[in-house]
Amino acid sequence: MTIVPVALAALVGGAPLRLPGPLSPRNASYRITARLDERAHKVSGQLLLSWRNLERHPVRELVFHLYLNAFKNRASTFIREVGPQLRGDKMPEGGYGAIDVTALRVGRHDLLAQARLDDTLLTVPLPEPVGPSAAVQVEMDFVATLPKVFARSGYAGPFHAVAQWFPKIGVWDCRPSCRWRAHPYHGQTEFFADYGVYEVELDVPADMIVGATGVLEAERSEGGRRHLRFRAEDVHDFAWMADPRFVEVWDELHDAWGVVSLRLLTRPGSLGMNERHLQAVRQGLLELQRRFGPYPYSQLTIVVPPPDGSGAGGMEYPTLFATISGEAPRWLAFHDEVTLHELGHQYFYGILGTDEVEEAWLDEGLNQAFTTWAVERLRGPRCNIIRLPGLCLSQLDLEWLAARQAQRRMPIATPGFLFPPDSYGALTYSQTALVLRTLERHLGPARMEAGLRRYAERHRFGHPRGDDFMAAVNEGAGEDLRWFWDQALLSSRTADYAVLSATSTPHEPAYGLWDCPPRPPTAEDPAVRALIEESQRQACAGKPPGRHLMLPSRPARPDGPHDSQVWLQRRGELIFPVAVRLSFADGSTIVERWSLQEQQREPERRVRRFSYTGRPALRSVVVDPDQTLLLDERRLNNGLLLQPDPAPARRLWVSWLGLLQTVVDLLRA
Amino acid sequence: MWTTAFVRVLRRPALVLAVWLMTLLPALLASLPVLLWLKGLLDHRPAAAELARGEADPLLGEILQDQPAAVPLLLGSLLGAALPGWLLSAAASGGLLDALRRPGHPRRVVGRAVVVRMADTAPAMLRLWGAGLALRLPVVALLGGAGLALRKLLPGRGLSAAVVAVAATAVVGALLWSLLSVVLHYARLHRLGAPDRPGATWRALRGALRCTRQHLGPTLGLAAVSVLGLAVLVGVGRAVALHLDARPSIALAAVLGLGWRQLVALGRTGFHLALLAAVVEVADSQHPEQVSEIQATSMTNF
Ligand SMILES: [Zn+2]
Repeated sequence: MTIVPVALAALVGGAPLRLPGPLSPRNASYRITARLDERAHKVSGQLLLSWRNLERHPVRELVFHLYLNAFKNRASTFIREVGPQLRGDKMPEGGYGAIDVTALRVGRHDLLAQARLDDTLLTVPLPEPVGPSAAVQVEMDFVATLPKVFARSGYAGPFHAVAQWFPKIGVWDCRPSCRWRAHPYHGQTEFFADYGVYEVELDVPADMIVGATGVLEAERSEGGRRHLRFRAEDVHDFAWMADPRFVEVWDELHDAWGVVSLRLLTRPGSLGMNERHLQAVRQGLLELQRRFGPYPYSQLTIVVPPPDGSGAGGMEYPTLFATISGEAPRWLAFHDEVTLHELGHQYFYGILGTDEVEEAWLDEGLNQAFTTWAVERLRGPRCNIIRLPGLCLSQLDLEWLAARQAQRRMPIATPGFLFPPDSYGALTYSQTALVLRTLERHLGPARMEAGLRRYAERHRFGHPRGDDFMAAVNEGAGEDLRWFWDQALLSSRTADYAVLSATSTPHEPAYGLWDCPPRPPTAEDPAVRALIEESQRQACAGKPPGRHLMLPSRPARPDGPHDSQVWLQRRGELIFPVAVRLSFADGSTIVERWSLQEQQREPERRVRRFSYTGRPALRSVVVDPDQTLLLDERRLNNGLLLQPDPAPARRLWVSWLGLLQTVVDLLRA
Repeated sequence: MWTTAFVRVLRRPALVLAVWLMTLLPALLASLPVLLWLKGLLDHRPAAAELARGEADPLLGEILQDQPAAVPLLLGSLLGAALPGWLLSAAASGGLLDALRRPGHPRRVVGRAVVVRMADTAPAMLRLWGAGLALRLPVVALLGGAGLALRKLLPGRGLSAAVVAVAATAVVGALLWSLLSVVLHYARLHRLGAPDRPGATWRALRGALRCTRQHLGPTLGLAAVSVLGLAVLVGVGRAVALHLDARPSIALAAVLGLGWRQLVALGRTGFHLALLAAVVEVADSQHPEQVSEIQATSMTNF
């Protein structure tokens, strides 16, 4: 069987990398041949895994993920945890899937009988241990029965999303003590694997158009079948999607490191979005590279799954991702946002190979923060998701609204599968994004970018953890931010600063009963002494000796001197330095600070008073006026007006009244 | 026909004002709890100004999320405005139709007599309204079915297909609704001329269907113009209102917004009355035999 290299330059990606490799340890490399039976929706394959032990401790058994067994029956860990649904997407009736290993050899040893299968994990005892830096080769035959599209994988008619479809080895990790970092397929969390080289040969029906991880190296047709050979380097997974109805669109991104070929596989009914998806990818890639370093691969494939295969959409794989189908008007940017988010995963999980199971916030959360930046780059800072007359919402607004609704709080840095399902998304995605955007406003964009760049550069093609992230950002930003990380990531504290009360009364110390001539005041506080002396002067000027009653002769003027008092309250547990802006009747403002140190010194004193004597009447007080603390859960209580302003309520009421009249008029008969 | 109808309505400004007040008053009363609630929530908050200017829409989310009373309050306000509004409008429809008869018609009423006629005919008109609701249920069900079908059919067909499908459903739905309104007005005219006997409501409805068959063209025309006119009024009203709402001075925006919305409401009321007058014209003048029948029954009633 000879493989003829494809002549069409656009189709053959050439080398999978556009930067000199290897970029990663490449200790888990796969050679797979697989055949898709499109009628039975089965993929039968043979794989040869070359695995090297990167740790200084020997390995006595290997652990493999058999992810598709999550959909084998209702007793799987996945379905027991979240039910036969994922984020509202129901598992189709009768759409079960599974993966069966039919042969297993390590060297000369047939180990199929010894292997232990538990849910989605297959443990293979080794005939002899694999020592440090030693390698082992594992051969397996397997049959993957695809479910009806659900939770990322499966088929919908002729569309096949072949993901998490082959036995994939876990990560042998000795930090701090040795264990296989291989969790069962949880309902709420995703994946974790070592980097390697994937050489995958697919045998599909001749009319299938296939998008896959890596680049297409060679292609030939034979007996109504197509044989496609893909190659990917320095990646930790391989997925492919096949559909005869795909419409193929090519584009390119030229940047400082050369060219990235963009391959969009879309479909009728979504074609109107082609340019928007590609524009999002181009702008998103530029933003990713500006912030986190070069995209090292020569190709990126974007798949638009069919509407009945939406369970495969909004999902990321190395150099391949699935966005969502359909079209949207320009004022609505959900499609653009999904594309940017899945694109961002090329870094946050792809190039920065974090453990999506144990620390989901490191991929989803950081990626969601990136998504907000990218949406801003693409569509401006305001109204960048919904821009309608009468409704304006940005991605950051949506994150805030989602995060404040998380009822059951846990630290963000909690293993993903331990979150209650109603709070996982709000905390892992939205709250993490708000944490990082708050920090950005606190540090300033330049220091924030420096911190994140340090993280991205240091841990490229590694398996960084939360501690690595925090340490790198501390260094890059030039500040020990432990006070912030401890609260925002490692605790379940929430933030809510409020203006509790404010008063402002005319400054009238000279009124009342005064004995003239006055005696020098004895108060210890020099300010109080000065105040009394000044009042005595006013009260006794030109008066005969004796007791005199002093009364105001005219009503106090707002711009005359006033005594004002403001009480701030920290209603949440999270301590953050906040500014307070006070506006006075003469138009002047003062900005005060309730500092971190002061709040930390006496954390239980949750209120702070600011007092002023002699300034004009106080008009309004706003805590955190620049909205630095995006984590603040209640914004309405951040300010107080001393005189009520009835106009806003009236304005909104006018709209409501108009709406009521319109409804009554239109539906009367 | 429409010219005659509009002229007849323009000659009765007091009638237009009265009907406008009739929908304004329940809406005003039902909206007052919302005003009080908003005042308590916003009067002392600096952020309320941004909210009113449309610069802080997430705050709307905060309010809806944090105030469990918000949704019941708003729904209550909506029902509190709609139910009395619709009932009043239905009860008054007999008097209004008779007020809009062509001059010289034996049932025509003016001045105070309109109110007396409204009161006299209210029970019969309310019964007809109830029957009309039953007539509308299939339409609502049909539209619901179309909506469900669209949800199944539309994914994967692109935006323009979706826009066309939704717009077509909306137009067909509005036309059907409006057509039923015209038919109901015919039924009212039949009922107004008929004696109070058991089964009068159903006889009036049957008469209305007969009338519709006989005047199919003008009836469809009335329904179409009614949909078009209301759509224009609502569209222009909304566009200008949005413009006024965005004014920097919120107090001024509130006053201008209120004034403009009442102007539009007056416009809608005038248009509604013109539709009634046009219905009367169709029923009274285009087919002499129909007129004589109505007039004959009217005579027996007097
Ligand atoms: Zn994601």
